[in-house]
Amino acid sequence: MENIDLGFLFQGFGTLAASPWSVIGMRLGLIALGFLVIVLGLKGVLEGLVMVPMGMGMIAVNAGVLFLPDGSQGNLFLNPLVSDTNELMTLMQINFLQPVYTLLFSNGLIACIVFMGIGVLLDVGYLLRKPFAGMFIALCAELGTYLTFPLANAMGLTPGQSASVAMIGGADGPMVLFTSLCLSKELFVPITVVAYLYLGLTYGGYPYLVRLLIPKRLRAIKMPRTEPVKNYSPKIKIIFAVSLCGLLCFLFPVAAPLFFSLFVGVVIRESGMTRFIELIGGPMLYGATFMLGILLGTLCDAQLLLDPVVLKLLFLGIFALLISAIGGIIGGYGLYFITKGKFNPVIGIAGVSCVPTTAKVAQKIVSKDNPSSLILPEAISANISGVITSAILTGLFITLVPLLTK
Amino acid sequence: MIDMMDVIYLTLFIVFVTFLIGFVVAWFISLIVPITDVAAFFDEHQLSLKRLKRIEKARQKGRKAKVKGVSELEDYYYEAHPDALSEDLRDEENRLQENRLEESKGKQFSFFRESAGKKKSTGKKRVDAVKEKREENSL
Repeated sequence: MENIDLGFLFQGFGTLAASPWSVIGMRLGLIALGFLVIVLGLKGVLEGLVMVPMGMGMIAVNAGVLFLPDGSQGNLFLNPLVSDTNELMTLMQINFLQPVYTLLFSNGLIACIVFMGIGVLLDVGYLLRKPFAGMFIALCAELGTYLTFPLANAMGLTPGQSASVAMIGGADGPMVLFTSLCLSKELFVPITVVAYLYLGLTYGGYPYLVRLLIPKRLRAIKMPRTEPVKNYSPKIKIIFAVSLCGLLCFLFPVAAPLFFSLFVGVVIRESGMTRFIELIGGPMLYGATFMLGILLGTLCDAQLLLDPVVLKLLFLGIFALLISAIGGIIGGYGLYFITKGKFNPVIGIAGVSCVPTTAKVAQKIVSKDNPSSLILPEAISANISGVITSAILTGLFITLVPLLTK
Repeated sequence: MIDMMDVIYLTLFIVFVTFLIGFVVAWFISLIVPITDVAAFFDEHQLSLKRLKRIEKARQKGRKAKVKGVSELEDYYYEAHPDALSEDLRDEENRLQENRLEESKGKQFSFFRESAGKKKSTGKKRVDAVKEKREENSL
């Protein structure tokens, strides 16, 4: 009995003791971050639907490290870096999340499923009412993407990596996932993790930014409702979705799966196929979100995130989101001046296309300062336009950036 | 090594193209909305529109029938009152009115009743009658 090594018996602690200080610090730090993320998710400061499973995954994957037969350290969750087909087949039979990761996450299918779910939840009628205002705000709210791309390149990232990290400014998780899969597979995991971590932060962080940049007097502006809100028939919405999907697919075939997923959701919603709506908007969307959270958490492996480039990604990610939000608010101010004070500049924050979080954030802020002010229709319009502009940028990056490296 | 200026040019190009496509999409949306709106209106009110067309057709028929009725009445009148005809066809209407007032006071209803069973006539009869009258006068 005296020969039993406690470090070998309780391998989570054993691997910790056998690791260098940097790994120990990172593992413990990520476990603590996992706890924090769960608490903030449950409190509603961060997006709970993604953050709670993500926090659980972070804790489990960093605690459950074991010695593998070849003497190295690893876990039984998944290996995101495997490229050899035979090894992948073996790992799919060992790591319990490997099949989900390989067949759902690493090919972007999960992003498409989430997009389908978003499409089913979207009412495009808001966009049909005032397309130019929504689109203008959304285009301004991509400022972070525009500026992060050259900045990341100046900081030493390749154009593909720069484009992928710049897409965080679009605040659209599936788009970041898709871009990084196409342009920087080697940094796909940290970029996606950073993106989703920060997207969770938008819910808690943007209200402070809005309060800092927009005075209370302007935040309380009531949107004029001189004419009754027009309700478009489902037929119009279907024609809109089908024709826009066709147009965008023609323009950017590389992002066609995302366009298709979003607009097929819209068409299903408007065609009133109740069973499909229930399936896509319920089990598929929430199942995909749950698996996304768990996979993101388990991807937060200390060994993987110890790469020094992650620090750059952390900085660039927060920079992109911050500048995009400022850009959106600038767009809101622009419309405020164009309409001679009849536009609430807070709507600008909804141009950051984190559907529907930023629209909800905008309405929440405005309701606090003026409970009778309703800006949700305009905010949702800007939000949907944000999704479209993010998709356009994804298509442009995927098409143009490879030309730069040739 | 990629030149920084190339990256900046590419960024500016991407900004330009994004704004261009964004506004094209917005224009496209604002274009298809009224078109589909009109199409949807016609589609939704197809039955009502058909009914309106039918009503319009029926009205036109009614109008035609009414005009025919007036000309018939005139023919009957001239047949019953050949003296009312003159050479000057322009005064025909005035005379018709005068005759109605002076000669057919209280008799119109009986006149209509009498002529109701007669054969349907056309304006040609009236013109023939005028010609006959002219010939008589010239003789």
